[in-house]
Amino acid sequence: MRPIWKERPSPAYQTIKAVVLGGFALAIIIPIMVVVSTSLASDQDIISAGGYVLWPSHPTVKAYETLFSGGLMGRAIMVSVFVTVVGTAIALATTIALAYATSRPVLFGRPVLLLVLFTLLFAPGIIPMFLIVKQLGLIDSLWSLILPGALGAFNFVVMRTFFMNVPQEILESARIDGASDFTILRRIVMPLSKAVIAVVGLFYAVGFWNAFFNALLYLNDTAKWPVQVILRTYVLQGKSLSADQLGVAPPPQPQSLQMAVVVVALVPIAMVYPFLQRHFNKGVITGAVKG
Amino acid sequence: MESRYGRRRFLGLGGAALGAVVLGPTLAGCGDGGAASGGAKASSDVALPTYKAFEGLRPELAGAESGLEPGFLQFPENAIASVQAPPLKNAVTALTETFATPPPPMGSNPMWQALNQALGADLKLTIGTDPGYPEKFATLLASDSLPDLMWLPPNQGIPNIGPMLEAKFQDLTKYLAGDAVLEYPNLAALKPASWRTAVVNGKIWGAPIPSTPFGQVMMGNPKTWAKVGGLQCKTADEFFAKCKELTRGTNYALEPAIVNMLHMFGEWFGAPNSWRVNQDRSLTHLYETDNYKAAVEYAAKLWAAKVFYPDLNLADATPKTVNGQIAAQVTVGPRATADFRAADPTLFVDTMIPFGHDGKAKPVYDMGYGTVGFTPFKKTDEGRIRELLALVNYLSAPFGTKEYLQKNFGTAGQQYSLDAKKNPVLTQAGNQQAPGLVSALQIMTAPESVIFNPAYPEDTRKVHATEQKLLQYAMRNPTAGTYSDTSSKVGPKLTEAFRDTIIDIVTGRQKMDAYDEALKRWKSGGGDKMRGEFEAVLPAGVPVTAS
Repeated sequence: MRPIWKERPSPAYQTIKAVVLGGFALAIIIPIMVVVSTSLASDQDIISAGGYVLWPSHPTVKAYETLFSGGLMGRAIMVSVFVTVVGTAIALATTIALAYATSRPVLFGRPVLLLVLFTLLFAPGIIPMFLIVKQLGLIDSLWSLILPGALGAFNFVVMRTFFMNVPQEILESARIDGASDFTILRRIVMPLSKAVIAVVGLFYAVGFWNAFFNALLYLNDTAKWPVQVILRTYVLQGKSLSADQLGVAPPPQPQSLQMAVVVVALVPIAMVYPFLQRHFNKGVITGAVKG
Repeated sequence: MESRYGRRRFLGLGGAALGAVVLGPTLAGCGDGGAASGGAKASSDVALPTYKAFEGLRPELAGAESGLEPGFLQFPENAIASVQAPPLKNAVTALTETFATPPPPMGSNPMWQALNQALGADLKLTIGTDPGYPEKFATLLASDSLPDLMWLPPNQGIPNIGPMLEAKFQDLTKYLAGDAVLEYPNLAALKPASWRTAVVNGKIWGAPIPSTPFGQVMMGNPKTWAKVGGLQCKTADEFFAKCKELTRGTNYALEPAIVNMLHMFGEWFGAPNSWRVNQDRSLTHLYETDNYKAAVEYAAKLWAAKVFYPDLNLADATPKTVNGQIAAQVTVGPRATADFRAADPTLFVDTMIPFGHDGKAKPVYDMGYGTVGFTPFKKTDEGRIRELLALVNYLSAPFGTKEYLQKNFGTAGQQYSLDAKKNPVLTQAGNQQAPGLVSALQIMTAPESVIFNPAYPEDTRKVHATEQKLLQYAMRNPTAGTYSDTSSKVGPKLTEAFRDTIIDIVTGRQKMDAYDEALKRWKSGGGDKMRGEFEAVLPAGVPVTAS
């Protein structure tokens, strides 16, 4: 709402604003619309448009039927949901616990621990990771997608910094009242840190949802592949340069099918945002007002 | 800037324009450190498996040793068996790659299960995808838990092939060289040109996997080209004029894959297939020839005339060629007409036959590599080796046999049915179970290729005729099957850098004088060393390049 004392902006200014903001909005909406429209387009629509379709004149859900007919996609969604939900829960639990512990000055050997955690910021090579995953017996297990990524060093740093900014006085008074560390974490620090937990949780969830490379390396059984690997094969089929060089590239999947997979891979994780947004706003506002 | 990862960018290899630089070395490995020539010398000494064509199949259109693929107008009736008994007693594991969408897993894939039954035991495939295969390959290798068979791609940059094969894989020379191969008739039906790609350090490491022997071709939509009197041209000027005329509004003459288009122009200007063999048996690289330089200038002229589709990142031009927005694109091999048929059943695209740029000079047509590499075996004992060879023999069964049907189409009445002309056609179940599995099997084991368009037998005749025309101008990469250490180490990088400059020149960001500087960098960066290494191992049988 405009404050009462402000003048109405000139029509020219308002027009410019509308055009610029509208332009930005369209730049975001149109590609998504094209993806959805193309996924619903018929073969004729795609041929006459030469690829992407803005508005299907003969809408059909054939692409989705084809996609879900093999059973591979349905299973892949279950796998992705499991990995994302369980992975995020485990990752949040470990990150919160570790961040809290290292944010307390009393922890024994803290500098050493922090140094070790610092090294986690750097990604290990593919082969060492593979060897460890293999020795842990996780090859061909969904846990190979969860456990190696269960602690993100960057997320840990973000959360720890946030925890350290919780006023010490509150924690001290809680301690005087007889609260244990666990109680302090659960009843005081976590409620005060909802915003950062939401953000870090979202980072983890998006990371788990989007991960595909580990699945390629660690999972030999195609039945355990997550959505992103399937997405990749659909979208890249026929565009593989090595297959093309060799003259063995199968023709690409119909554009409608490719876009249907994109929609399927996009919608579930996009649905998470509105629920978490509430926490972002609240967190930001709480911080602003209470200084 | 063309996308660094766009597939078209690297395509030269399929057409073998850069086969020597990118492919030859990785395939043949880089030998044992400094002794590159030793391995290559040995490779040219080994006795290749005796060639014995498979009998009992009569293609309507005969093939030839030159590379001409046999054409089948329909699937042979009453498919004959090429294998006497199921090859396996024990389960086999294999690492392979699918270029299609992954198949349903073995447990829920009746086609896979039927194949297992025909084989006599389970064929457990670990299916990699692209990109990502070299990483999968490297991790398995490092973890030392090798499957029985591992497909070795020739062009995905797996390094140190020679030492790796010696250390981890089985030398199969004893079982395959000379007449020994006759015990496996389907392997004996693979051509010597294919086998040559499975020889490293003078030893045979597996059965080769033939693909089309043809390289890149230009294809155009005849409906579009009809406006200017057809795709075929007699001179480069005529082509230029036609392109200009076809470029109107949102319609463009050429797909924006500059390096591939340049490869086609190079053929008209008489540029060699990677290397030219001079009278004194020295080598001149493609980039060093005036022919190629002239092609670059020609491409720049076309670009300046704005006949290329302007979005350099266009991933797949096929839909645009089908609807006429793009008039011509580059594909691999004359059989690619089928891709356009799949998009539009009424469309049979024209294939450009190379012509001399001035109407007089002799053009060339660059043949491709011919195989997709080979599949080595993990080190094992003789009994197991013979079992695995029997498996590969089964899976390499020629087109038209019972085993071919089982591998590619599954079981009659389930995954396929016969159409009115008795050709196998995948059923709905087949369409779900087959593509990913067939792609994975086909990339690790394959028979010699054929032309077969069951729904359009006329296409088969036309493609067969096109192949004969192309073969008149055929040129093979003289260094194919040999290798150089330097090429293996720095070749791809040098090529990449040189191509960047070429694209800059064509698109007008740099002047033509940048060409010579780029060439100088290419030579000093390793080009000259590569030449020396290739010259040292140039087989005596390779003819002097006609110019």
